[in-house]
Amino acid sequence: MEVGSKAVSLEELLKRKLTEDWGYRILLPEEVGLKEELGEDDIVLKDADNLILVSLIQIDLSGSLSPKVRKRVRGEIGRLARLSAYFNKAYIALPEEVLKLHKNKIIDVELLREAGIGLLSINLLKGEVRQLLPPKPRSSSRAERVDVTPLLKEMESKIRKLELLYDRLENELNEIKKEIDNLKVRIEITNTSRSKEEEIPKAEEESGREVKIEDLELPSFMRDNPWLEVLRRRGRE
Amino acid sequence: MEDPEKYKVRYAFAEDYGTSMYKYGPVREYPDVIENRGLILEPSLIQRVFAKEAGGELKGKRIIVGEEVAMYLGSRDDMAKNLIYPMRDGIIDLRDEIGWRIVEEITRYGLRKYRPKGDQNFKGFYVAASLSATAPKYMYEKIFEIHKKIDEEEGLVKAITIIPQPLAVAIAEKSVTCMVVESGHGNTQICPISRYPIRDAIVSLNRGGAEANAITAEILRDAGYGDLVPEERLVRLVKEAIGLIPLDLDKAIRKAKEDKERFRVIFRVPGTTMVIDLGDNSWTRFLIGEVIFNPGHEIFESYYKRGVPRPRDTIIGEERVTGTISLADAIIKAAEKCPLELHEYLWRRVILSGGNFAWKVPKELRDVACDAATKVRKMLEDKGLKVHVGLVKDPQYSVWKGALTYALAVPENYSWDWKLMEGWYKWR
Repeated sequence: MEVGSKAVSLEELLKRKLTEDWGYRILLPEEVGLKEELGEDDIVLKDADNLILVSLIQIDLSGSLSPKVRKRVRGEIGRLARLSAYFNKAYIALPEEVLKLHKNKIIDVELLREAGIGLLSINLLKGEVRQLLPPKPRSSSRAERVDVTPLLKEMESKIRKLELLYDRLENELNEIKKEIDNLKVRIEITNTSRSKEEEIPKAEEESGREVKIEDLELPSFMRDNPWLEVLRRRGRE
Repeated sequence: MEDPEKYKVRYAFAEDYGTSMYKYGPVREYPDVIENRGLILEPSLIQRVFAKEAGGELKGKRIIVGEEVAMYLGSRDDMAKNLIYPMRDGIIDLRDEIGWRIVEEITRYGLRKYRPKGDQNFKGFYVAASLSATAPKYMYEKIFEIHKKIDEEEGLVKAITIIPQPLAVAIAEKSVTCMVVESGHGNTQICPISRYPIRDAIVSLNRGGAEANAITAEILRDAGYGDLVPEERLVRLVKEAIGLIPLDLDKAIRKAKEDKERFRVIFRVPGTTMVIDLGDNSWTRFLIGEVIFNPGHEIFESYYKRGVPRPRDTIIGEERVTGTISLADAIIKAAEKCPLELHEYLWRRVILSGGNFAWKVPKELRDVACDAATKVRKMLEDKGLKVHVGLVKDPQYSVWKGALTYALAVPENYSWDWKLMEGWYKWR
């Protein structure tokens, strides 16, 4: 459960401290071209040339710590890790009392370190915002928001061309296979026919020995075909 | 001199005159295929002027056949006017002079391609030509005449025989007793076979791939692609890419209307930027397949009223077979004309052949779509018959394969017999 009234003041305090004491300037999500990726509790700030993202996580203290909340915090870390490519620094901000009560249960500090995300605590009573874990600053310039639509279109066109090429090659390959089969049959017929001419003694040939089609190397559809015998009798029945 | 039987084996040649495609070639696994069509070229003004200057005069029309046709094609209007498919439902009219000239050129084209080079022993091919089972006698005479003429001019044909297409299918399928259903572009022939085709029992339907094309064209018109319809080849491509045979048409349409995205189809015309999207009308894909099997379904009435040609009735003897009869009823009709004791053997093997039965079934739509054999089996089962229905391995080539086997097996010294309609027709 989230507490709306406290949330406002938490956010206000956080924004005030970050701007007045830390010297950051607040930016609108549109200004960094990430309107769709950023949520209501995200604060985008600028410090000189550095872009900073702070995600405020508001949790109600009255209830017990549900696995849902832990999951939410882990999810938030993951989201910030993904977005960190666009920012030089990223923080998660939590109320201090939550951290005191549940620190080891809801925040995996090692995970934060690994992701290079800093941790801020907000003490509403004292009016303080403290940095408990510094973020890993990204020295490289932030990733540009690139419009990938033309790139995707180009890729799509290339894939389409490849598909067409594949279809064409497949057809050509099938044609070649057929042609090879045909040639094999022709060669076999020519060879068998020639060797039979050589084998058959002339006298026997002259005596009108019947040519057995089954003896020849024939296309597959003629092999073991009962019609050969049926048709051979035609005209004699 | 070489034994004539051995010579025949070496120079056997088969031709399948399909309504849409002509398949041809010597002994091999697969035939060559060209479209059974010709492009009529009128002599151009310049050609006529040059001919006149040279002292002559160009009167005749040139006929282009084979792959070369594509290079001469002009506008779509020219195509519709000058590109002629001579056969209609497997038949050419006796007096169709242009049609017969195209057949002559197509035949010449095929035989020339395989003339052996530098073979002194070559004295012409033994040609087995395959025609529709319902081809009239004059077609046999014309085909003989054409081959004789080509031989007299080019020495390419030693003898010729003609075999009905269903018999050729049974031969290719190695089945001596069976029921053959051969469905090509123009017609469907149902022919019981028991060593010979049982000619009195043949049922021929004036419908085939062309009817599926006509429905596809109408569907394209409805979807806003009317400008593509005059291109027959394109319509055929679309039909082959998107058409589906429904296991049960009503159920298939219901499902397709309930889940439009699942059945939606977008077809990119190969080699072009054209994209055809049927959108919400994707359920009509099932009509393309159904029309082959049951054009009498009430849903087609609205299409017939809008100009899609209704399959013509066939007259067999004194009987009229309705053009829209279901394929199952037509098969049963053919069987009923045979002796009762033969039925059992015929139902053991019903063979489907012809390009019109070669339909794809997308994996993800197998709950509603099926192949041609499953459809026919189901239709016959619904009539209470237990049958084995099979589709030939290469539906497009089985006629050619059977014709080639026929050429190799029929004895060389068996002369053509007009009573039995078999044997070798010779003139030298």
